[in-house]
Amino acid sequence: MLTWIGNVASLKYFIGEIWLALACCIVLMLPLIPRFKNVRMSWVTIAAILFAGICVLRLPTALPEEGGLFFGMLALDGLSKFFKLFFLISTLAVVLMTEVGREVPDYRKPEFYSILLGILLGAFLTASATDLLMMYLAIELLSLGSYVLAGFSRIEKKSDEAAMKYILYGGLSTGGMLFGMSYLYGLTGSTNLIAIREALEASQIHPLVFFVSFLLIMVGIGYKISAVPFHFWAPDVYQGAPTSITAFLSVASKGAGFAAFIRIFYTSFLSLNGEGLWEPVAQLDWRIFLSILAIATMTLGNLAAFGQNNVKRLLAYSGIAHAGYILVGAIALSEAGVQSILFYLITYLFTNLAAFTVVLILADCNGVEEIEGYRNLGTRSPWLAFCLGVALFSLIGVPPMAGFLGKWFLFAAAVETLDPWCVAAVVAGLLNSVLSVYYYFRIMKAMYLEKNEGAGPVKSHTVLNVVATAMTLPVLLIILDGGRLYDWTGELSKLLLG
Amino acid sequence: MYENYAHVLIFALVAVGVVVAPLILFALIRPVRPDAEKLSAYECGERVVGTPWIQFNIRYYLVCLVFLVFEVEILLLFPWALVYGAFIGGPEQVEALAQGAANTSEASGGMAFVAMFIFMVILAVGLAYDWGKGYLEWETEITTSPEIEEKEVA
Amino acid sequence: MFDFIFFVFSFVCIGSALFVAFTPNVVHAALGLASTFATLAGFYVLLGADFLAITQIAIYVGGILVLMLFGIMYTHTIARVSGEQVMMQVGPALLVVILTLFTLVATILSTAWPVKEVAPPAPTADRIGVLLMTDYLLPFEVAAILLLVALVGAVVIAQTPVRKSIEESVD
Repeated sequence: MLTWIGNVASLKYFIGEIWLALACCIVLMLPLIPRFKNVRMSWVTIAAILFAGICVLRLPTALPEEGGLFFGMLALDGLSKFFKLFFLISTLAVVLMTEVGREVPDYRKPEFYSILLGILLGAFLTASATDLLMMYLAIELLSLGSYVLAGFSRIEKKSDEAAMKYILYGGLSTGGMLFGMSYLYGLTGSTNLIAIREALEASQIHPLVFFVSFLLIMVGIGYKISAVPFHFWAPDVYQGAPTSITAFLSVASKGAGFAAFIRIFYTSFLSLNGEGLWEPVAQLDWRIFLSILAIATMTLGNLAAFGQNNVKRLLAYSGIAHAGYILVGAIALSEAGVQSILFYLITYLFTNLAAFTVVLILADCNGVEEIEGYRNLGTRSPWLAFCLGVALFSLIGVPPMAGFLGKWFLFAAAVETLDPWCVAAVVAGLLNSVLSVYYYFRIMKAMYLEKNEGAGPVKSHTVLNVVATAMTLPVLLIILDGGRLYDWTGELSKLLLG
Repeated sequence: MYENYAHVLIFALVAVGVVVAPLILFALIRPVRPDAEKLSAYECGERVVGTPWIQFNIRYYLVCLVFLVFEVEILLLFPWALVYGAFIGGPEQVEALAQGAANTSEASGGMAFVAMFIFMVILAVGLAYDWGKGYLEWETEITTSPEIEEKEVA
Repeated sequence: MFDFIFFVFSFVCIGSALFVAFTPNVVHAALGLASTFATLAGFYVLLGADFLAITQIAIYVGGILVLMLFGIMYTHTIARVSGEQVMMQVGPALLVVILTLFTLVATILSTAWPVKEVAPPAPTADRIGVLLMTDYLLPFEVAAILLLVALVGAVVIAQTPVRKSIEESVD
């Protein structure tokens, strides 16, 4: 049994979050004071994110006495630290993209940043929550803000449509998740994830109810990570939302979904045996279910991406497929599986943000979202084409790109278990990677092989170029020293288990 | 506890009954001979023009949204107000209320005060934002404000 | 008596929910929802959760329902709604509904839910107050941030100037 740390004593591990909440209010209030009316709120936001980043970096990955913060509401462990850094990097990129982009008019930026900081706080809490109530509240904070931001540029009708679809499907899936959580509470009499595991271990529970409960919770999480069959919203929302928010949804929101998944699944439904392998607490084989989910997600995502001409939509389907690949790491039910998920998320973070920054430059500064608009980008703007090219190669998983290393670790972790379902999922993953070459190469082909005489040079913005570069460099650097990064994720993949 | 709510139920039933019973009674005993004049809406002898289904001003909706948020806040204030006295009294009094269901070691009046203060301040920020932006003024016609529209549509 | 009240509440609750789903008039549907919400509050009382029941009445019947009615009134096509409902995909929807219902009922019946003897229900508000200030202090404060984001988000979405095209069509 763990010792819980009280509310007051927990505060010193909570400074980053407190500062985010404070900044959320400051960004909202400051423009109302005439003196500060013209201060750019992006500075305050960036300062808040950097300060929170320092606080997170200074956090220990475990407490000297094992325990949870705020009487068992939050965990302070490697996993939460990893995801907090993950969210901070993606939010920082999104703030920069929004500030120089033109999709959000200047006079509405304070609200935008305020809500974005609220979402970031929600994502932080999602990554560290060890209580179903806290988890639900955090996911709700994350989702509610995302609904608003998805519909933020109301000039475009499709932005309204995006927000509407997002909130309707979102409300339904959160409702399902809450229902599943209520089953879990009814079975165990507790909302604390660790107490739930202990109660599940202690009693004989009919597998059906357990499975239904997990399935319902998966509805909510599957929606966040856009796993099939809960992916319907993704293409429309990705296309309709402002591009910076699309980038945020495809990276941070998906990451939050995986954080919640790892936290709930590995804390409550599995127990760790001595050899770094997890075992189901009730007699249920999760592998079959998860591998079917993973195979369906990657296959459908890839197949649907074939016909897409809008690059944002195409990347939405590619994001669905990548959710499927990441799930393969979860099937392994091993420490290496979690570790490889974290590693893959790092590569996915930089790769996807690099791709979306280039997409933003083309959509926002040049008004093209279709593949045709990417023609001849290789000569019109060699550097941007290079960034996008690196990102696409990494998304395909061409050796020796970062995405290849990510997939390698994921699939290796799954194959190691020698379970037939794991092997099936890995084979499907390999086939899908080959399939995906086609649609990624359509963009590559347009950029480098197709001629577009009429188009002039690509208009861009220095900050956006810097962001694109800053996101592409890590993708290249991971190639150089992937092993050390993998070890680092190993340190951070430790969960507070009790 | 149930006895108290039985009273509520009885009151509710009587209230529904007082409305429904005459309607049913009169429907049974009155003669029904409708004509066009009788079926038209009666408005002090004036002829009714147009439809009652007009599009409402969006302000009602905004005010209602703001109201909803602060209603939730008020509802969360009630349980706090009930136990604030015990928190001032110290952990022993709180423990007597909680009966072992809560970690009361840190309970103190100061903490309960600060906790609720933070809660109220965060929501006050929301109110101040609405106020400062003029969303609480009925007169400002935001939907057709030329200044904003220019910026948005351009 | 207890069971009788429970069944009366269930009957009204499910009946009005069906009414909401099948009535062609949106305003009637919203009013039907009021009785669903109110009977749900009745269930909460029967389960001994009196504070939740009051919350249900105050927030759902008093707030959210009014919000819904304003939402209906705000749509500019309210007068033009034909009153006909279009039903699409009845077959698959029915299949999904029946499957879901079957699974849930089977789950509930087949499970040996852990049962605990409890004292007769007592008012819960003070215990909720203690828990909010001790164990659940963090969720309590996070709820404030959630409400703030909801407030700002709702105002931002609702107050945005209407696009030109719609504005012109409204005259």
